[in-house]
Amino acid sequence: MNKIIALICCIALSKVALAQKDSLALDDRGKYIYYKVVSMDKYNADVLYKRSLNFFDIISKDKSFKITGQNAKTTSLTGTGILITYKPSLAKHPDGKVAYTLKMEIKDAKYRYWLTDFVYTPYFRDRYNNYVPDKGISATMEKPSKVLNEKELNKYIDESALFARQLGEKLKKYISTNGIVVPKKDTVAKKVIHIDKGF
Amino acid sequence: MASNYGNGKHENKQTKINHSQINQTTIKTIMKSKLLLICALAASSLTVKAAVVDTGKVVADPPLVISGSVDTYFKYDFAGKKIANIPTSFANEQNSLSLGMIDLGLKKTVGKATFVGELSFGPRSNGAIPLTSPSGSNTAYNIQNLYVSYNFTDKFNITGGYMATFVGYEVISPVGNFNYSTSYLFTNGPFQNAGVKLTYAFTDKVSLMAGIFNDAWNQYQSVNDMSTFGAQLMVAPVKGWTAYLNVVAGTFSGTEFDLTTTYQITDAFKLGLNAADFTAPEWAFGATGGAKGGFTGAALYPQYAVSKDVTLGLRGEYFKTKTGTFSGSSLPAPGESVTAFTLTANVKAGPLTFIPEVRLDNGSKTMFVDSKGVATKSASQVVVAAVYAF
Repeated sequence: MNKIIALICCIALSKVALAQKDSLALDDRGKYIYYKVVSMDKYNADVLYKRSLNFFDIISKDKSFKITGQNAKTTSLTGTGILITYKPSLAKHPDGKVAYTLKMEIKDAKYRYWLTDFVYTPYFRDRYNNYVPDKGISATMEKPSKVLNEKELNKYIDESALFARQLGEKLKKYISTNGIVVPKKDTVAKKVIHIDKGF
Repeated sequence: MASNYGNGKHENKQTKINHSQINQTTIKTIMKSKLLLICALAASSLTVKAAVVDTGKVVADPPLVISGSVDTYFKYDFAGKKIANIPTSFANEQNSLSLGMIDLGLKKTVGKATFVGELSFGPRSNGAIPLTSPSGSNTAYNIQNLYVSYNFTDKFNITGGYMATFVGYEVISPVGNFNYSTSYLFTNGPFQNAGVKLTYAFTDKVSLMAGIFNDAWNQYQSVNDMSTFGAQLMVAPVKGWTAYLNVVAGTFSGTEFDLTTTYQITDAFKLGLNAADFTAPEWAFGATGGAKGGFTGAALYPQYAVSKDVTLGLRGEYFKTKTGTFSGSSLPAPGESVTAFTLTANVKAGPLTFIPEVRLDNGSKTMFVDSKGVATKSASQVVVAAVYAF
């Protein structure tokens, strides 16, 4: 029995370790960054660029992302986006947003992208019971100043890393399927989820 | 606990064990092992949960937003006894541990449509008129916000219902105010307006709202008609600085012009300003030959964040009742004025905010009473409040 328990504990711990493997790192400028290189052997740079552009066009529709630069010659693009963070509470509501910059460079059979320039802006509840950005207050992840304490900073770093990973997964999936998803017969009406096994 | 284990499924797997041979130590060992196993499984399942990834949108639809607050306070007016001199809204029960209100709000957005419903219960809520419930019975609760809105485009929105007023710096909810006691400008201005408004955002820095509202402020329904006009111009000249120019005008409730602005000058220092001018409607407040007058005033709100969790702030307010016949219990006599200073601290401990404050009001002539009941020009009080927001 003890061996089984020890085994389960090891598996649980390894899952935690795997889940936390992809985190933000500090780059040579001292800024937090999420950096990823992805191999796509089947596709040349042109195809990868067009599909990536389509993907970011689609996610731009909900105003959480904006393409700020694109260059077909160098097959590169840049954009800015936000992720909304929520208070971990029974009463669920936004407590802030993290703005980021995305840069992507594409070559034949591979691409790389990175998210950086993370800036946190707290939300407050306005008189109409809406949670809105507290204008004028913001803090970079590197200099949280008086806006964030260490615990909050770590929370937003983790959430940003998780978001960046999910964004990357969705980009990869979109590129590899060209955005075409064939639903399984028995799961047409169901929400599809999968277990992230980490990178 | 031991019998639960004995009756559990695991007992069948242990049929070869002679029960008579199981002593207390063995039972404890099994319990410990099973508890450990349960803990391990729980930890494992939590880990799996944390790693579940939705393959839908990059940004999910906003969830149902549930929010609210609870507040309570102690107030002591230095006049002593049960004298509560300062007549502004809320926090007016003397020498008492008193209740504010419980506030519960819901919001949901689906596509371009949004609803908000916010109810409040308690003395602070009751102090926020109307004094009767929507059914006309005794006050049991108040609606703070009840409206629906629709975004025609990203820039153009229509909203209709009963909403917190767009006028002024302070609000009813203690979560929305820095100071716990309220200003004369807030107390004598509108709290809520029911109506329909259109808002157009020209840019992120300029927007205009215009709407038609019920004739009576702070009422769930109109007295005669929807004859109050309201408008708000929002400008944000530089980062951190937002200014609202407001007007609410009607023959029933009067006309108020208002400027509300805040400027987050540094990460630590914020400056707010509220200035307003109100002209009373002629029929107002029981005046027989037609009321004349109104009020005018300004309040400055400098605030400095000493640390992330501690902010100090001052409210300095000058408020004057215009000469005429317009009067009320929460403002100086016509032609007189009052100057009020409130020094407040906000000390945050997670969702809980402690708000100690000291306030000194000084009238241009006697408008308060001292401990002997003699008329005096000044009044002072301390308040310690606790506000929990969720």
